[in-house]
Amino acid sequence: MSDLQNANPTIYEVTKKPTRVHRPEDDDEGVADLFDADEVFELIRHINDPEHPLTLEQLNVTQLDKISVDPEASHVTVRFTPTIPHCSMATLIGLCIRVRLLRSLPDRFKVDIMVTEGTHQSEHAVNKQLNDKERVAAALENSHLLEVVNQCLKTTIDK
Amino acid sequence: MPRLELVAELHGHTDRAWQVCWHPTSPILASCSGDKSVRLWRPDPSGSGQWTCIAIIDDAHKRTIRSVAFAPNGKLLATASFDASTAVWEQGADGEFECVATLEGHENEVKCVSWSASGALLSTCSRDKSVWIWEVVGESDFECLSVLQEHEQDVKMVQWHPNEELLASASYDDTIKIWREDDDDWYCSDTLKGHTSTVWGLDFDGSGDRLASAGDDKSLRFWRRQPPDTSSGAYRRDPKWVSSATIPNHHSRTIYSVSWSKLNDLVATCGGDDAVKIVEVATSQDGSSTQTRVAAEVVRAHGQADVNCVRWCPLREYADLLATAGDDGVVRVWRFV
Repeated sequence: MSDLQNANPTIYEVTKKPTRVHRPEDDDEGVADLFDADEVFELIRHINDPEHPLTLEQLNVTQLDKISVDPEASHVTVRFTPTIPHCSMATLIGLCIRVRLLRSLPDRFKVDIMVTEGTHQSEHAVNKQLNDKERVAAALENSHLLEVVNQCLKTTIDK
Repeated sequence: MPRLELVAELHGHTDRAWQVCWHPTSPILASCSGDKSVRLWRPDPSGSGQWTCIAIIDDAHKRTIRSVAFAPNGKLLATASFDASTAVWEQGADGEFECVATLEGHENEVKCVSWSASGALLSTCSRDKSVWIWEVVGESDFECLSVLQEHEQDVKMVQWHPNEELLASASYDDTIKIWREDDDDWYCSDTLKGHTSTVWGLDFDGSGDRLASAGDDKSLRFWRRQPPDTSSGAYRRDPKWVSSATIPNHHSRTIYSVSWSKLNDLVATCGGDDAVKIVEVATSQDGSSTQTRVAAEVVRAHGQADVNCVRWCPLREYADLLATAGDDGVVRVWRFV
């Protein structure tokens, strides 16, 4: 693997336990359990990086504070931070996040996935591609690409 | 206050419905889907108001069928697929559809197919950035006349002019291009700039002198054709299209489709915000000013699913009908009342 783009990425400490704090109202059947950023983070933090045996959380690609959820409008925005500004894997990483949420969130959610502002040289192009549903639909019919995505998502199952 | 009334809800597709197309002479609707099938629907002839599925084409393509189009004579049906091919179908006496031609040449996903008004030409466009013009040589013989490669990105949609041999294409490169023929040579006669992101849909009005377009920038734009500048010394004197009105933030998310009724000055739009909207258009006599007004709206036309396509019925006796296709796999028929 000599062609790694970022051979020595910085590895960050991760929170061992689920970040979500148990609240008294969680036990109250009468209170609607709305989706929040913690839950979305929980879905994507364990996605494996396409290049390293490390999770997106360990590489600081995904961070809790870069996720916003509007449960009333069923709207989720996820920003992710490529490890290097010319990372050619950015689109693939974004696609993995999109597929993970596509498979896990209820259908009603509208999801926008974007690169954290100013962290990638092709930010506009990557964002445009990740949020074009036709491009995403076509990509997911490509069995080779789907296999790569599934490989990255393996680590997210049953966590 | 006008409104949209639900006429029929057509279930059958098992994946996202991408597009709908009305038959040119009968109240028949075709829909295509990510489930790789085309379904044909019609209202029960007894007049009960019930719509039923009358035919299914499901052995057509290996991948999503993105676009479906009836030929102007209603006898042929074209399907465009992510499998890079376009197929042409003819309905036999038994009602079954038979593939009479497969058009190959695009490098990857074909995104749209459109027949010219005379039915003599067909156009397709693709993620490979090209627009192809095909000539219908015989009943099952199609010949590629031109491969147009001036768009810088994917071409999302092609649409022929309602009565002339003039083609419009909408692209991921944020522009619309107008294509004309000059002595067997197809060329780009105009590039319409104004949208700030992908143009997903466009449509001409009945006269073909006006054009509506919409896309990822959420705006609905109107354009009108101006006579060529005769004082110019240019080799080709082409009519130019100028912006005549813009409704910014017409929808709150990407607008995927726009349809201009050929019978009324009504423009329908739909998009990722789940809404369908009807806009009344009034253009002054000299064409210099365009007034627009939202006449009706359905906030959640397909529940909380994106609405991918909207099409007015072309038949005079059903001029108030329109059909929509959604991410919920459902096709809906509406009446503007």
